Amino acid sequence: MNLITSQLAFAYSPEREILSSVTLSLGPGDVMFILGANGTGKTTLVECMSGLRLPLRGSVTIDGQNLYQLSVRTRAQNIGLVPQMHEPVFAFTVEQTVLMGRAPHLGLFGRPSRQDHHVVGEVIEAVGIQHLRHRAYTKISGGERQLALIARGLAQGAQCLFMDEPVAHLDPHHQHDVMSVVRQLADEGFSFVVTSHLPNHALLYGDWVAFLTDGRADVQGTPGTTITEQTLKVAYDMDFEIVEGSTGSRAVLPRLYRNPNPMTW
Amino acid sequence: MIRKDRSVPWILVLLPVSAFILALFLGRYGIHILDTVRVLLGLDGPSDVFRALILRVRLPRVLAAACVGANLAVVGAAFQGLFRNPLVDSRILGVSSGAAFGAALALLFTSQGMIVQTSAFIFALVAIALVMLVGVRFGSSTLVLVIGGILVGALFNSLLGLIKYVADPLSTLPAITYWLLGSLNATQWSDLPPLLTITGVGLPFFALLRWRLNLLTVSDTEAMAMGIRVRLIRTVIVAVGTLLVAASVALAGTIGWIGLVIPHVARVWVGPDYGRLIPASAALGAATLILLDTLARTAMPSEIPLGVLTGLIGVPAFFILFLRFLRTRGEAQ
Amino acid sequence: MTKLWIAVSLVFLCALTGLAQSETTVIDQSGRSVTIPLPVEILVSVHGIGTYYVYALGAGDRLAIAYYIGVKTLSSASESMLRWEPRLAEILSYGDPNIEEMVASGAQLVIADGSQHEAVAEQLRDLGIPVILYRAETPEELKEAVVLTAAFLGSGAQAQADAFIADYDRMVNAIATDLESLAENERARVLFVGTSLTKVISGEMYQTHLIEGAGGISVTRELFGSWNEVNLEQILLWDPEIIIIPPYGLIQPADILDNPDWQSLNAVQNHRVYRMPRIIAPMDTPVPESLLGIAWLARTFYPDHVSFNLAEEIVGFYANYYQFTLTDEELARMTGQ
Repeated sequence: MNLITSQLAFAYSPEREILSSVTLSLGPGDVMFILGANGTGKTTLVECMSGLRLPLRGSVTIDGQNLYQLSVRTRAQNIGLVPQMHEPVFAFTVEQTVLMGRAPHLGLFGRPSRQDHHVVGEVIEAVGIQHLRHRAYTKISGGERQLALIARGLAQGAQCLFMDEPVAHLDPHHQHDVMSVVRQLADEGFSFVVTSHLPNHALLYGDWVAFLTDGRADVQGTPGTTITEQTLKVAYDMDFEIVEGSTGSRAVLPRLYRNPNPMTW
Repeated sequence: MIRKDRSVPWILVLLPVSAFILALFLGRYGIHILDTVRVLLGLDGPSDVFRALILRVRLPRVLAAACVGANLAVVGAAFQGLFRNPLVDSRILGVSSGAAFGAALALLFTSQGMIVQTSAFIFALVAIALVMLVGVRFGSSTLVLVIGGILVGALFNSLLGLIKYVADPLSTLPAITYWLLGSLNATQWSDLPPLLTITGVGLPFFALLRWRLNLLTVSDTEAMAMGIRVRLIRTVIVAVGTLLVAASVALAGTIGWIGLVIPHVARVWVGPDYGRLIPASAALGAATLILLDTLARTAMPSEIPLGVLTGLIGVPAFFILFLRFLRTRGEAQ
Repeated sequence: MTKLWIAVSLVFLCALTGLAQSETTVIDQSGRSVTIPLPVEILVSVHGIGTYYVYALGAGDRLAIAYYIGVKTLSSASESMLRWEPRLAEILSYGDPNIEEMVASGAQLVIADGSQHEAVAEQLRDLGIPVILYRAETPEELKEAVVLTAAFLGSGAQAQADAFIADYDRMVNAIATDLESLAENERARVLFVGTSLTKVISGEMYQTHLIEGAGGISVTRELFGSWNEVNLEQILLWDPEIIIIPPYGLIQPADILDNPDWQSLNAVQNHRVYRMPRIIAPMDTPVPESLLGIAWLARTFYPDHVSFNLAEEIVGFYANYYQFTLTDEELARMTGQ
């Protein structure tokens, strides 16, 4: 599935455009990271690109079709959203939560059929949480919730999932659990757009990265070439260094100027 | 967690039906069981008094209790999901306050049930119209609706206070006070058509829509991403829910706690899935109000106001259930 | 010098005794001792029933502000009332008592309702205005209230109060004598409803005493509190022989007689459903006119047994206590003839 965003602009108030011209392109199996400082409009961009907000200008096409002209049902059958971690009010089971993703395939008065339950079983298995199927969603860990929400997006039939800071609040192990499922699904052909504050994740799991600054995403490309000390400095207004590990992996470290060696004081 | 057993649907029917039948056999005027059976089967034998009591006094009242109980419980359950707040009940949008004002206003001038009922119904709709007006102006998010409901409720409560102040303490004030306590006493067949019609449309609506209510318990953004027209569906649910509450309150007065407690009881029983929660709430709500109203009309020579009974039983029940609710969410030990 | 002191002291003492003589101390019906400077020339009554005690004792002209039970505005006052009290427009008031207005009226004494005016009484006492609180729900308490009222209205009132109590006792005794021959099961079983068909009196209300004074039995005498809501089944169970509707509210006998659900009642089958008439105050409340209420009920319950002449009693009462002459129409309304 190809999702092409061109010259997208959005403003909450006429005085200030939070997005002025964003052009991005996503192909099947791509994991695209969107990096940017707080308040640069990452969430807004996700909401526009996934069709939840109408942009001021610009277009988003999905396999050549204008996203904003699709019916809400068709859109939901193609694009899913994994929201930031939240605390649900009612203790639905994981299965009931994932089942909600079948809504775009059901009529207004419809109820899930055997077939829908079957789909849910498959996607739960696909993200590897079949053991949690009948547990209360409120009582599983944050990482498991993210996987359940990915499964819910898959249950919609979505080929493209938008994830808004999916690993915030998670420990490194659970971060990896979630991201490796993302990577694995991408290898099966699903596309992901992930907003993040972790350039390292873009390096580890991303196929493509875009820096959102001043309402534009002019700096974008493969993570290895795009995430540099210069681009990071522009994006976050601080100095970083890129270090290389023994296995050839690269990592971003903030550069500290205070006292390089506090122990000697 | 294991799957709930399959016998639930049978109990759903059995519970209100048995409460309904039981209620027809009970009353201050002792009628022999066999006579009651004969009257219900349309057989000859029982006196006209028995026939009138069972068919014209008990039957409409029990029917009204069933409808009101089911309506308040279903709307309470739906609104709790809609507002993503387990402390919400059908009164959240100021509908009951509007109805109370309308009833009190009518009671100043008449004691005719039909006029009081109509006035209560109309002002319940006026209340929700005002809330919707606020909602349309400020984007009909749940927060806006709640604030609108609080404002409109407060407005009508003040107007109600004014009416109580000018009401005659000898005649109209006691009538208003009693109406506000909630009662199904003196319900006649002629009072029922509006309630039966609206219940007949509104409950099936919620029954059909019930699974989709699940999707309103998640955030607006998530629901929209799953292809739900959140604003539209929310408006429709509020509208139909309001009709059900308005029709119920107009006939029975302000009966609290049913809309808050019954959905929680139902959640303990069948879980949070609205596919099961709505039928369970309807069944439990109907059965509970039938039984409480039977108690209200038989326990003592004088009527116990129904709203007083639901409160006395609802408060401790709610306390226990809510602790349990918090525990299932992992917030209390 | 010493002589002068003695003279001054004497004058002062005389003045003190003089003062002491011009006040009286009474215990009101809330049990509080109230000292009232005499004479009381300007009265305020914020008790719609207490007002009538003042009238019955011939002091109605001393009222500067008055509440009349059930009368909120001039438009809700009957034509009879307007004719009886031409000053009604001037002095009629209603609602929560306004302290400042009472003070402005120059009230030397305020009559109030013990069941709801404790706080108002407190404020008035702070302002130096004595307050008498009434609580009368039985015939004895009614008589007590009348005697209490006479205590501060002067010597003429005392005689009037004695006459009223004598009249009240005479009426109750006359009825008792007339009905002596009646067996317990011949007594009228009476249902006294309120402003709705399912609202009935309790055994603690004044109306129960009226029914008993008139030789009847209130079927709801076992109930407590104020007005009780009951259901039709319970009413059918009581199966009263007579139903009385109070002189206020919107219920008329036809509402019961024509109601299909009430047809099996003894009272309905025998057409014995009556609404109390009203000229000035509602006769079912603890006002002096309740004396006529008893007479009217007795005549209604036992038209063939009572020996007194209702019309004479009515004419006499209004002449003696309210200085009021009924029109022929008013009298016919009261006697039902």
